[in-house]
Amino acid sequence: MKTRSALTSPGSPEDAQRRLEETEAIIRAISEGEVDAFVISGTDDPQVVTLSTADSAYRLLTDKMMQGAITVAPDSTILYANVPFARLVGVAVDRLVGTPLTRFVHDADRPLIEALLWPDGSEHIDSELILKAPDGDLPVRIETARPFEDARAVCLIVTDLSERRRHEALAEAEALSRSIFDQAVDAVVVCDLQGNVVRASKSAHALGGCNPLLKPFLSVFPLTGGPEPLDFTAIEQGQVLRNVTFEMVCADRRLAVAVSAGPVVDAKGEAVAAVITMTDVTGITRAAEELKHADARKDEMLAVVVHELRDPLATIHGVSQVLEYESAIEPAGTRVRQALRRAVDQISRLVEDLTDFNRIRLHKLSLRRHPLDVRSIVERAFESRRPMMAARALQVELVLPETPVPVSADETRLTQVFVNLLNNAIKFTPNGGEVRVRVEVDDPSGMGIVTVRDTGAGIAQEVLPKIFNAFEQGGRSEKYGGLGVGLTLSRRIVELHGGTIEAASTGPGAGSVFTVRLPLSSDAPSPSVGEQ
Amino acid sequence: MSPNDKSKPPSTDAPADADATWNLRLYVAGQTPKSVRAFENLKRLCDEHLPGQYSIEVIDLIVNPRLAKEDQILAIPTLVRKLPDPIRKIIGDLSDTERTLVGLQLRPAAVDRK
Repeated sequence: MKTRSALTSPGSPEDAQRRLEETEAIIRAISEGEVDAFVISGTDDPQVVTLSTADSAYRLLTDKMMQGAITVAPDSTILYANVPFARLVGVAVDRLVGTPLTRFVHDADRPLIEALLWPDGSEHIDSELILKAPDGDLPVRIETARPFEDARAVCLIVTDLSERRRHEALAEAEALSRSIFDQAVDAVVVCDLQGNVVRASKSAHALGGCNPLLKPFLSVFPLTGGPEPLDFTAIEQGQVLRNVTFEMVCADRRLAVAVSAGPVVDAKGEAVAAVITMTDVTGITRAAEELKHADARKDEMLAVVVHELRDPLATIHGVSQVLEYESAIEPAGTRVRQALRRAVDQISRLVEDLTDFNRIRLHKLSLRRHPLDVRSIVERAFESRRPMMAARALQVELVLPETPVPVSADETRLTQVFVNLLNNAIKFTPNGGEVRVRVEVDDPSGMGIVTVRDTGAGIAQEVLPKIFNAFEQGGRSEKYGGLGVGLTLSRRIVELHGGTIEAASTGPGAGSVFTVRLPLSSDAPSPSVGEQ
Repeated sequence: MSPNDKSKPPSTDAPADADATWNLRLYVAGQTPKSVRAFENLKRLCDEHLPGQYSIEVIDLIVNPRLAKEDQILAIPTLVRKLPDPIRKIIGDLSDTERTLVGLQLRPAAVDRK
């Protein structure tokens, strides 16, 4: 061996000298207490023996570990126990040594202990049992290890499972609260008192458009437009917000957010965090605005109704006074009857309009459809308006195709549509203007098309999109009267027939064109169509 | 003493020989108090007298007792100087610095040993 060659050769005087010196050195070291272990090399395999104090480091380690550790003789006598085990069973270490382990085990578990101490050839056994502890039963896990080959003492490592089970229960509770947290529809965020997000529900991730964890709250949720900015110092001092609406521009969306916030306090009542709940109320806010607008329009309509009723009522009132003086009837009879008729007609129309409006609002409008020819409906509507058009000296034109335009329609409702469009054309066209009506068939789309064109007041561009909404008259109701439900009703009727209606105008004073498209029906219209 | 002894100056704070690498082996028995103390003493001594030119190999004979054979170890702790030649053994926890330095031939023996 290389190392041997470095030493003096065995048997030489130098070797003897060296051995003598080494022996002297060993004796000196022993006598001065500088060694605490020896190698005994009588057999093939040398063994190391240590002095009794030498294992203090291991004792210290086992005393500092979390688990109980004991060495047990085959008859279950405890030969060694560490401090944690003594603590588990509530007996001092020095009194444990010599005590049978079975003293701390329920009778039912004794066979288990015996199996641990006398394992049938198995090197390592791991089992769970209940120890008798000062505070009652204690669930433990016991693992075995065999340190000696010849002696049959067994080392047992005892783990307190009650602690672990408490941890499991805690983990379960944590998982449960996490799941509740994530189920919340509102975005829930917990921030530290510096305003950094430490916890965020799934909805909060969605609202912020990113993972907000550990980021400054206001960088992820830039709330603006509230009565005052969100202030974490104020929340720490106990400020509570309840459903305060803020604006937030987040991931290119402008949102209205209802914010609630308040401190999270610990057992001592000190604020340790802030919890912020955010609800996206963009939809609700918009709906509320629309409702407000609709309500305002209803108020306007009510004013118009009152206004519209006043005139015919005044007429009826006047006429009734006239009728009281019978003598006055004859000379003025005809004029009085006509005035009465007009007033009653006016009120009837108003009631009719209101009834129809209510039907639309409550979605109660229904059709009784029959095979019809659009030409005859338009013609009848046109003829019924002819006296009015004549009275206004309008130039009128009705162009009809030679072949039928078959549709499946409710005759009364569809007539109402065309009468309405004609009434509007007449109403908004000055004396001497033009009103032209044309019926045609568009074969490619399978639609019958009716256009009503006038040279009247026209419609402003900004009003066009709203013209079919209830009570919109392009700001003309004062001047022209009526409730403004006609077009809304017309659109509803046309749509119920599967058709469309649109308005076009190049602007105020330039006249308007209304186009109604109705899907053609294959059924031949019955030759005589009458109201049911 | 071995004939290969190199005489060293009394103070060896400066590296004696830039190329000389000290290869030291310390035999211990786990964490016995003397083993722990021997390592501490050795480390301190080397840092003081052999800065940057030594390596210490620690052999735990409790983990592998057979290794005791190589250097014929009987008592623990024992320090073996493998390099530079010749091999030298110092037995004990090295708490006597003077004796250790002499044993390692980092310092000449003061007077005749009796």
